[in-house]
Amino acid sequence: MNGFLELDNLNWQASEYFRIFKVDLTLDAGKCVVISGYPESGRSLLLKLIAGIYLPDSGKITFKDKDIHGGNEDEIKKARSKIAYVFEAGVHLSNIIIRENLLLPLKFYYNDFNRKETEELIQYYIDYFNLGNLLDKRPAEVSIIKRKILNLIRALIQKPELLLLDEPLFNLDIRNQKLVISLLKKLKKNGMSLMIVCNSIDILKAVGDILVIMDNGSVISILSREDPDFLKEADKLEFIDLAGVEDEI
Amino acid sequence: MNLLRPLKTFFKRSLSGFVESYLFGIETFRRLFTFHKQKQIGFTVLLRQILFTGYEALPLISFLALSIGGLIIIQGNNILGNFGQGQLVYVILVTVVVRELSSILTALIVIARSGTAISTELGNMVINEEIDLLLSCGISPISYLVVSRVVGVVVALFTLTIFFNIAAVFGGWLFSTFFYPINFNYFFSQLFSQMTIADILIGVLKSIIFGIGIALISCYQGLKVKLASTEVPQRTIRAVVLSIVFVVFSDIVVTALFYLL
Repeated sequence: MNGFLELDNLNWQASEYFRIFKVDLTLDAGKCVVISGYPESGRSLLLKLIAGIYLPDSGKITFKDKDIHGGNEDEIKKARSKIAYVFEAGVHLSNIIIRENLLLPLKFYYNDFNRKETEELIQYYIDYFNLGNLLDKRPAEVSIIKRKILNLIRALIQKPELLLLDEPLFNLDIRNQKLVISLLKKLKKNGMSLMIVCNSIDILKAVGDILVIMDNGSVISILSREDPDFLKEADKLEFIDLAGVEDEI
Repeated sequence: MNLLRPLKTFFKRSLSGFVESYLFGIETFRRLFTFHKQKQIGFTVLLRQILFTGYEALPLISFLALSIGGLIIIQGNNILGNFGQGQLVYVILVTVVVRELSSILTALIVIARSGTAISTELGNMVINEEIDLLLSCGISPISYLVVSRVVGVVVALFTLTIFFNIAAVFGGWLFSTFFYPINFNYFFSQLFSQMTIADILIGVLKSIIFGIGIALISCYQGLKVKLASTEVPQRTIRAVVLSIVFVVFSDIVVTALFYLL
């Protein structure tokens, strides 16, 4: 075990179709894995297992040689502070204002984080996405697009080493899709490791190093960028979400 | 054989539900001792719970306590006065209000206001993926949501019970002055002569037990919501029913132990 993130024989099952079955995967530091497949293929579920939302039935998730579900609480907390997860939907705690929502992980992980520096970082991302003045609003008072972007900002101010993104372009308009892709490129260039669930060929071409295709909870194919079939397989991705719709059109 | 199957399923489910709720309670108590580690995020939730369960319930508790204290004095004086046993009304006030009614009525009000609110809020948080959000940030929902609510409800219920006692006794004197004018000092000296530390302690002990039970049951039922918003009212109703059963049952047990020991 010497990878940055290692999934070792990971299993999780809630039902016949809602499962992860014998998944082995390695992600090196600074690289980007794009996980693709049809909806309900288990790709989002896999991300949630890595994010700690679900506990694996068996198998191990190792992040920087530390089992993120084992050991004492302080060690797990330290390891988890370096992993951030961005939801497919813009999820926030509805009873606190957006500013408190954004600061929540930092408040939990660090007793004495630099609040001024963090607020500046928040403002930088707010300006980058041109979100306007919304920090003192409740999540329900802002649009779905903004909530989604704020999800990403919350993850980024945590300054994670591994960023998990579930369908980062879903619900976004073209302008914000471009801004997100551009930001992901920048983050990767700065050394952040990315694991992205999506079928977007744009993301794959922009930041993808490894393409993982899943079906029925299992990994059915792993291709690296050096692989001659990488872009050929990538081209197919565009049609995954449109499968079955073409005939109707 | 087929007739036994539903019965088996029922017992299996009941057993697993019991084990699950028992483990939930154990985990909550375990997390209670590490709450200080998350005080930077959990303390606000705790304060809000005390504010909602305690402070905002004060008008209703005051109204109820004053009325009940007054009614006991009026009825007691009316009945016992005919037998020349008017002084027994203070014994009734102490026995009925301080030992029994204060804790049980306050608990019922807390179930109606806070138990339902906790169960509904947590149920909706499950549906809206807010619990998943906490987990993804490494925050234990039990530490952040359950422990702070249990502590908040216990503190609020404890305080409300004491407040209920004071308001009921004061209500008793107030009403008695309307119908049978009694000197303030005489009323309270008679009352305190009938009251023992045990009377106060038993009421306080009950309020702590009720608070823990109501908060745990409401949180557990709220977090048991899985997929649909229609589960939220179902779980809330279950939280109310189970909380009432718990309060009445534990009241009987504590009272019985008090008289037996």
